[in-house]
Amino acid sequence: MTVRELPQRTGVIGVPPVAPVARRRRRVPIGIWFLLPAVILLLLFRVAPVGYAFVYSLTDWNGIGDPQFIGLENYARIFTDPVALTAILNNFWLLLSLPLWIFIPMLIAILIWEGMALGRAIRYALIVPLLLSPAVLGLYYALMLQKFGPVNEFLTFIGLPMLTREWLADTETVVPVFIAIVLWGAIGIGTLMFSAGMASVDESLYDAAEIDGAGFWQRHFAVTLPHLRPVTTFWAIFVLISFFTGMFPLLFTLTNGGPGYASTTIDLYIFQLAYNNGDLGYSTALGLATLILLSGLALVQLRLLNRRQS
Amino acid sequence: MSAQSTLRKGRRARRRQLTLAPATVVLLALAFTMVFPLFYLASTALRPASEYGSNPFTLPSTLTLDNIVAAWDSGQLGRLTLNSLLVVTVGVTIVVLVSSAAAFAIVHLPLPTRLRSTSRAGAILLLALPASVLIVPVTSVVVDLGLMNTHLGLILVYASLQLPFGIFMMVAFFEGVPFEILEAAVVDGAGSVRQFFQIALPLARPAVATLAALTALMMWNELLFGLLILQDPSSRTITAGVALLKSAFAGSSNASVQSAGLLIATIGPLVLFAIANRSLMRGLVAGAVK
Repeated sequence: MTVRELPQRTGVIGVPPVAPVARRRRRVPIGIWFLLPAVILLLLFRVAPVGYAFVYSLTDWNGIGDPQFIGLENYARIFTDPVALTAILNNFWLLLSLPLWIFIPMLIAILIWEGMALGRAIRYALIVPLLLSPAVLGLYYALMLQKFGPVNEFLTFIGLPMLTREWLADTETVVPVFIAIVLWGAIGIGTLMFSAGMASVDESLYDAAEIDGAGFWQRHFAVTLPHLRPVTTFWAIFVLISFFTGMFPLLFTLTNGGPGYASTTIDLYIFQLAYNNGDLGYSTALGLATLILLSGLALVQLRLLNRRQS
Repeated sequence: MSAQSTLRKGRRARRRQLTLAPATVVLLALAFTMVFPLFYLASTALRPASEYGSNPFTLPSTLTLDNIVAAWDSGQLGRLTLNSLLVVTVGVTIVVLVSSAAAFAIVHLPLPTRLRSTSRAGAILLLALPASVLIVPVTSVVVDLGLMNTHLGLILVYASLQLPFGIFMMVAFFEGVPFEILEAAVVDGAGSVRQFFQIALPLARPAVATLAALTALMMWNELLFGLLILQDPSSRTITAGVALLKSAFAGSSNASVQSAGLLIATIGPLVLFAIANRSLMRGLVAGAVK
């Protein structure tokens, strides 16, 4: 069998033009060697931990002694643990903000696409927070939002001194503030994503709509939204996953979950349980539970986004 | 596009810009907040600590490097930067080589068919599996391998975090390369290894550059495992070190020094952006353009 006869568009290198099948079976296919490092690394550090997780989540373990088997106690504890419940609530608030995460970058991308002045510069500027790590951003905002920091100074300067407060130490403001900050940080990539999606839109559709008398909003509702559906789905899932797994770096440096536990999210709590409290079994159980919850939510979201089509 | 429609676009574009003016103002304000951190950190770091807090929106009257020096010394930031450089350089190399090799195998090399499709599916599945909720098991593995508190341990964890994406990206790239290009080498009798290093990889330079840039950015800024795996303060990455700076510098009198530290920490990614910004921008939308 020559290489050209293989049905794939891509060829298979390394197979001599006339290879007796018997000889090939005795040698290890060369592809295995190329694949092996990746497989080893991934099995060790990504797959094996999942298995470990199931086991550890059923134990009480402080990392030093031996794990003690306690069955499903850790999972039951989640429902009565006030910190876990606060964390879940905060993640719920994040979920509620999801539409903002989708429509703000989308709108910006549309405006830039429509030829808004300085669009390119704005797009570049929006990327800057991405370069600064969330850790740095957390510390930066901690500085900015201090009692006598620049934000409060600015508010006083423009004549709103009654609004000044210790933003990050006030249990009523800390959660909205941190959600605003993470949203702010994500606008850059979101805009990039939607801009890339816009690049492939068929402009004649807009002309047709305009002839029919459609205004700005109608045009984009009818043409842009359906066109951006795959990008939106991808972005929405990505954001959803990050709500439950990506809040840690910013929160760690911004408030470390404080004041008290008011701004703790699930992934921060999982970290604190392991790093500060040495409560490894519970941390793992919470992690697994989050994973399961996340999968469920992702499925629901996929279904919602695909149903709008029909 | 005909000349006539281009003209129409020109006039229409200008009219559009006028109607969009209010939106433009709002977005300019937003863009300003995005770049402001750089300005603020530089401004605070470069002015004497005694002047801290006095109108941060203007340029400092006197410039001083004292804060930067203080942050550098007390935070061992030089050492931490070297650590980050080490981790990122080795990590990126591993990710690029291993991803490309695996992708090359999946697309071009003889493999048992089931293995080929399983690898493909596996890479995609792992893309969606977050590691940050499985920190205990992952660190367990690191401990069991005897790699706790070592740079190698962190490097391998980072590599494992980026590999699914890397494989996904390189598979997509290799699938887009027509076989004819590699066929010439096959006819010449070159073995797979030579084909990989002498033809496939050089051909894949743009994809490799993008993957390298994204991976470098991710590894430099990563915090979670950086804190968990490296316990020795002098072996930490700069991101982990800076994140812990808060406890090192308490009180607003040291906000100047802290700002200096943050500024130093951002130099790495900024340099990366200056060098590789096209690769980065391309890579960031890799998921959207499918």
